[in-house]
Amino acid sequence: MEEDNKKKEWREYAREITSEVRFKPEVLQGIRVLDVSVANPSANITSSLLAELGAEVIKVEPPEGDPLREISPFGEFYFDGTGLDFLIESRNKKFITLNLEKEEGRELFKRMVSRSDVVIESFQPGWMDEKGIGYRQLREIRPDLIYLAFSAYGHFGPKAEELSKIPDSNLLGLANSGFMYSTKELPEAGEPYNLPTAPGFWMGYYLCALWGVCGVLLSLIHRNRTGEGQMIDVTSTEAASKITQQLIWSHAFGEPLEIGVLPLDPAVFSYSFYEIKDGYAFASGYTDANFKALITQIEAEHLMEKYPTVFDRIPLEKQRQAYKDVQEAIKKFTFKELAERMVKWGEEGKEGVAIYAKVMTSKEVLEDEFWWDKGDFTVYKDRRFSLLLPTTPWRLSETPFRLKWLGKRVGENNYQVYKELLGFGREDLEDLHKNNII
Amino acid sequence: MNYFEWVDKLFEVEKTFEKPEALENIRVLDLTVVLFGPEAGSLLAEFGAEVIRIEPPGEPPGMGDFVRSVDLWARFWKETSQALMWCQRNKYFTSINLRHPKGRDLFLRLVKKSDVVLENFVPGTMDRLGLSYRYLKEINPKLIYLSLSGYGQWGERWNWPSFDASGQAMSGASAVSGYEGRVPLKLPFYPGDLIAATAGFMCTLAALYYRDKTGKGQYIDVAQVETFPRIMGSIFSYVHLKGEDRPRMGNRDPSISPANMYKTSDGKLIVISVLTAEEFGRLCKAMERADLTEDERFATTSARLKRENADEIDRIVTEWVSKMKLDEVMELAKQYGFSASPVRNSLEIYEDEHLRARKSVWLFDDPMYGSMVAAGSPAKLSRTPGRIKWTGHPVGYHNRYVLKKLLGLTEDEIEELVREGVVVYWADFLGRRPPKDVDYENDPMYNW
Repeated sequence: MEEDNKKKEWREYAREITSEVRFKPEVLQGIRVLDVSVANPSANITSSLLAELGAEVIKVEPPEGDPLREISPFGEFYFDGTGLDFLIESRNKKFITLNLEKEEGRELFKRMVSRSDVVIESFQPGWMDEKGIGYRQLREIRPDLIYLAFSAYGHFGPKAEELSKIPDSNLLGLANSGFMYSTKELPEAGEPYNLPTAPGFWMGYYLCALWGVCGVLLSLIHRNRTGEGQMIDVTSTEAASKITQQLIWSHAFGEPLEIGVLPLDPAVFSYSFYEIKDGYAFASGYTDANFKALITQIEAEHLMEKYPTVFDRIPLEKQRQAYKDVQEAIKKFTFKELAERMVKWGEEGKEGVAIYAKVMTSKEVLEDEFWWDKGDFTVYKDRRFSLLLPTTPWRLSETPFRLKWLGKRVGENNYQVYKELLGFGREDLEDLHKNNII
Repeated sequence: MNYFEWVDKLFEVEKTFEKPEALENIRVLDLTVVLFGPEAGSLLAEFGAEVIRIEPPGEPPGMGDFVRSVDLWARFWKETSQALMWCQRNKYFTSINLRHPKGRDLFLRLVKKSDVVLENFVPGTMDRLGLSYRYLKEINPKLIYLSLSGYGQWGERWNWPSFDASGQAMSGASAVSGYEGRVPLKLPFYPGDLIAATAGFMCTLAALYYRDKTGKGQYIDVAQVETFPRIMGSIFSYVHLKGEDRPRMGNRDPSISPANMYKTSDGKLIVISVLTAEEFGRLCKAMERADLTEDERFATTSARLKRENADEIDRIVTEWVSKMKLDEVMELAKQYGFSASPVRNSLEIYEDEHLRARKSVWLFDDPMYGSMVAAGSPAKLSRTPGRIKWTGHPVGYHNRYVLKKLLGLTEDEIEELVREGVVVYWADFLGRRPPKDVDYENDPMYNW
C-alpha cells in the first residue's frame, strides 16, 4: 500500500490526503467558545474559523441581534434580515441571545463561562470589567479561561484608556498601521490616485481575525501543557503593521519609507500591472535574462539597448520611462497571446522567464474552473437559502477546516443551548424573554 | 484598581523574557526562501520554537537565498537586504546542500529530532528528492509538514510560477482595489506572501495542538493565490448574486457607510468608518447633525448603504471634515466614539510611544546589526507573549552550533563537510557576509 502510494505522482498523493474533509477528526472538538462580540467583523471571522476547526462556537447576541447583521454590500442582499458579510462568517455557529446590559443576563453569562474554554469580546476596553464580567472577574470563575479581546488601540499601553472609545475598523487599521500610506500611484497621477488607498476588500479585518485565531491556538497549546489560561489583546492596526516592511527603514534612515509609486515597484522592474488589449495584466521579468524574455515576447527587443542592466531599469526616473515603453508595447496583446508566447518560449528552451498573470475580475475568478476543481468556493444550501461563498482553503490532511452550516437566525438556538448548558426549559426562557434578558 | 492599570500589570511587557514561551521545545526545520516561507518560520520562532533555517547554498555556493540580493530602492543598509532583516527572526542559520547524499543524510537525521518541516519549493521538488511528507513521515511519524506554494500542491496550476503580484492578479484581489479607469492596484509589502504565511503559521499551530493531544502529525498545504478569496469577505457572494462585477471604489466600502478617507482643513488625511446605526449616531453628534439620524436615508444601516444615500452621506462628511483640523476630528472621535484615524507614514508608526510600549514597535540590540527594530507580534498574550530576539544572519552562521548540538558532529567532521561543499558558509559578497563591524571570529555562536 505504502509502496503503491509512492508510485503516484506527488500531486495525486497530495490531493488524496488533503481533499477529503468529511469523517476526519476536528482539532478543536470539545472546545467551547462564547463569542459575545458586537459589531466587530474581526471577532466574527475569528469565531467562524474556530468553528470550522471544530470548536463549539456559541455566538451570544444582544436580544435585538448583532448590528453586524444589518450590513450588506450597497444594502442590497439580505436573507432573513441578515446581510452577506455576517452570513458568510456565521459558519457552524450556534446563535443565542443574552442581554449583558442587565445584571441577570450577566449572571447567566458567568454560569456559561464556567463551562467554556474561550471568550471572545469586542466591547470598548474596560466595559466588560466595569460590568463585572471582564477577564479579571471571569478568571476567578474559570482559572484556565482564554479571553480574547478585540479593540482599536488595545487594552494596555499608555494611550489605551484615552483612545478606548474609538471602535476598530478595517480602514482604521490600514491607515494607522502605515499600510495605506504605501499604496498609491506616482505623484503625477494626480488626486485622488496619488493619495493613500486601502485594498478594496477587508484586509485589515481579516488579518486581525487570523491573529485572533493564532492567539487562541497558542493559548490552547500552552493551556494543554500547563493548565494556565490567559488574556489575548488584538488590534487591526498591529495586525496590518506586522505585514509591512517599513520599520527598519525608518530606524535606519530616520525618514518615512516612500514606496507609493504605483504602477512601479521600489525593488525591481518589470514587476508591474499594465493595461493590455483585453483588460489588465501583471508582467514580470526583472533579471536581465528575464527582462529580455519579456520584451522579446512583446516584440520590443530594441528596449534591451535602452535598458541593458537592472541598474538601467530600477532607479525611479529610468523606471518611469521603462514602464511607459513596456506599456506601449504590451497593450497590443491580449492575455491569451501573452500566455501563448510565454509557454512557447519555455517549450523552445529559450533563456529567461517572463511571467504574466491576468488581473481577474471577481466574475472571471468565479468562471475559472481552477477554483471549483480545488473546492475554494462552494454553493451552500439548506432548507431556507442558498449562497455562494469562499471555503477555507488551507488544507490540513488530518484535521481540515470544514463548513457545516450557515446563517442561523437571532436566538435560533436559544432553547438547545440554554437547555444543554444551564438546564433551562421553555418556561424559563419565556420568563427571561419577558424580562428582556434573551 | 483601575482597569487599565490592572491590564498593564497583567501584560507586564517589561517582564516578557521572564514569561514562558508557548512553543518551547518545538523544533522546526525551515527550508524556505524569499519571504512567504521565511515569515511563517519566523512567526513560529517568535513564540519560542527553535527554528533552524536550512538555506540553499545558492549559486555560486555561499550566495544563499536570492532575496539577499533584493532591497527597497537598493539601499542595502549595513550591506544587507532589509528583506532578510524583515522576514527572518529568531532563527539559527545553517546552509546544507540537500542534493548531496551527505547533506541529505544530515537533513534526515535532523528530521528525526524535529517536530515541524517547512518548505516553499515548486510542488513536487521535495518529492523528487525523496524528502516530501510521504517519505519523512516514515522516519518521524509525528512530523508536521507545511508546504507553502503559489497555487497549492495539486490542481491544474500546481507547477505555475507565482509571485505575490501574480497572486493578487489571479485571485481577484487587485481588480477590486484602486479606482475605475485606472490600472488596478498592486498592493504593497507582498500581502499574498505575508498573509498566507500567517495562515500557514495558524495551521501549524492547529496541527501542533492536535499532536499534543493525540500524538499524530499531519501534512499542511497552504497556497498564496488561494488565500485571497477567503480574506476578501462577501465580494464573491455579492458578485454571484448580482451577476456583475463590483466597481473599484478607492477608499469607499460597499458594506460600510460612511467609510472613506477625507482631507482636513489643515491638509491632513483621515479615515472615518461607521459600521452601525449607533456609531452613526455618535458621528452625527460630533458633526452637530443629530437631524441626520432621523433622516430616512441614513437612519438605518441598510438605508445608509444604498448607493445614492452612501454618496450623499459621504459628501456631507467630506464637507464637514474639510472645515475641521485633523486634531479636532480625532478629539471628537475620542470623545464620542467613532472610528477614525490619521493616515500615518512609517516614521510616525516607528516613533509611536503607544506601539512601542505595547512592543508592536520592538526595539532591540541585534547580534549582527546592533540597534534594530521589528514589528512585534499582533497577538498580545498575557502569559506567553511573543518576542523578538534577533534577525537575519550570514549564510551558514550557526552551522557549527546546530550540527554539534543536535547531531554531535565534531569539528573535523564539519570541516570535511565544508570542504566537500555539503555544509556551506557565506560567500564574500554583499548581503551574505557578516557586517564589517562584527567580530565574528570571536563570536561563540559562530565558533561553537
